Amino acid sequence: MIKTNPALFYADGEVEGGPGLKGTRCTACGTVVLQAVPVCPACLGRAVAPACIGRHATLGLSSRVYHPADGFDAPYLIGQIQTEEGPRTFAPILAPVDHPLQPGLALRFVLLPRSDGRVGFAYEPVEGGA
Amino acid sequence: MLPPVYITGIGYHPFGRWPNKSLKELAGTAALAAIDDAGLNVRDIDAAFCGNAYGGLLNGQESIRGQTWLRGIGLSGAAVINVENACASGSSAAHLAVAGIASGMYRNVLVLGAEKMVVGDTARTLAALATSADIEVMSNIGLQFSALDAIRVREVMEEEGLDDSALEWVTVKNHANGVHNPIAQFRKAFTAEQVRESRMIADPIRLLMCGAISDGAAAIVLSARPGRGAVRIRASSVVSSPWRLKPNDEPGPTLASKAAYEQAGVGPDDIDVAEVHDAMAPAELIYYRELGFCRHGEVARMVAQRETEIGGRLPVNTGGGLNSRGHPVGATGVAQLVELTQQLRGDAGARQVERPRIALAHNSGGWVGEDPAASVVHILEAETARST
Repeated sequence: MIKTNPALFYADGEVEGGPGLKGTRCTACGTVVLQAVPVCPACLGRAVAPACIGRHATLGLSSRVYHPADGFDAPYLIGQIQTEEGPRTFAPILAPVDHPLQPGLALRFVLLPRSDGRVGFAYEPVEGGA
Repeated sequence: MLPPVYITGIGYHPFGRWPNKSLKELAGTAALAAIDDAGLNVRDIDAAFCGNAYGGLLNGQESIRGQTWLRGIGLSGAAVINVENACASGSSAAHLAVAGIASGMYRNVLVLGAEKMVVGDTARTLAALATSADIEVMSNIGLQFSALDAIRVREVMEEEGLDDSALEWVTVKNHANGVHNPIAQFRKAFTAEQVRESRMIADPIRLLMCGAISDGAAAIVLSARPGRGAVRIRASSVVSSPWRLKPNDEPGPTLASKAAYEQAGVGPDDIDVAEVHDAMAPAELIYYRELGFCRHGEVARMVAQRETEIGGRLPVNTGGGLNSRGHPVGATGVAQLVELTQQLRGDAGARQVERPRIALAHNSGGWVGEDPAASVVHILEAETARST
């Protein structure tokens, strides 16, 4: 499997609890950040451990995009997401383009097969979620 | 306090689509104009700081860009330093040049920003632009810069109670200003209706709100002694994307502007005219509060009272902004300083603000984490009061 963003997410079977976003947890102060980093940005401690984060998230603000990019046919949806562990990032939203996207919408991480054969990721609304 | 550093010369090559001109020609034109305006000879230049972002990806000149630009205009032996900081490459070059003068190392320094983005393949240009974000995080997810700004603009709309009419107003304002700017790519006024009816790019951003792919160059000469208009650089601040781990952690532009205000010994209320980074015109609304021009909750009032029009309390983007002037990435930060120098000298013609004394330029570059990768703020002051 070839991933679109190998430094950003775990696929199935790569880590316990995956798939999800790659993160780092500081063993000293507990701060969690996106991606693998060697130093905790909060306490500057170097005792950090990889973590799988963002399996569940909530939507922030979003946009409906009318120009294709990165293999996404227009129109498509993209938004800010806040992981349940805290870090925020941007992600494609896997939903019908007319789906009402209100901030606070509950989302879950999903792997997204791409047209070029790679595997990417997206977030999809959780049915019955907030 | 920053030791004396003055803008003594300005020059540019008009922004636009120049398919038959090389990056070297664009840069050379701007450099010569600035050196001439300063009343200097090219051999008086001790160093040159050259801002460019995509000369490698789009023009094939991966390194030593500045040296290739300047040899042909007679620069011989002077230090040439190449600077890349995405859309803030030009202002970052200016920051280094300020340090070079303020330290006493140099007497006269050329700051040159240039970019050639029209290469006959829009997809290639857009792909180059996309490399100005952390590609591990932001590539392959559909996050074009227009979509990023759309989300940021939605935030200021939600928090400030703005509707689409505010976005249309700021777009119309900046295009109206650009009509009078000879450097601008689009010297055409638009109505709010025309803006509203233009194609949606990334909701709520429409086509006429977007900066365009552009070629162009801008240059300034910095010197330890004042030139015409005695335009002094009172502050130069560069901030990289901060970690925002707590809810009240401030964004990069706010940190950069606070550092600049402190360095200059002024506050936002002292600013008479400003250039802010509006690759999408409505992004200007974000910076009203992030640069301290108003408090949170006051953006709608600034829009309703048209405070940032020429003639208003604090005119913003009198040169048309990136939206109208065009955005040849490496040149933009220098073009902002050219515009403000013209304003402080009283040379801005039909877009002249009445007797400005203190001016602020804000330039953003790229994206990392939750902020521009680089936020650059300069504060300028006209030390000599103009008689008109």
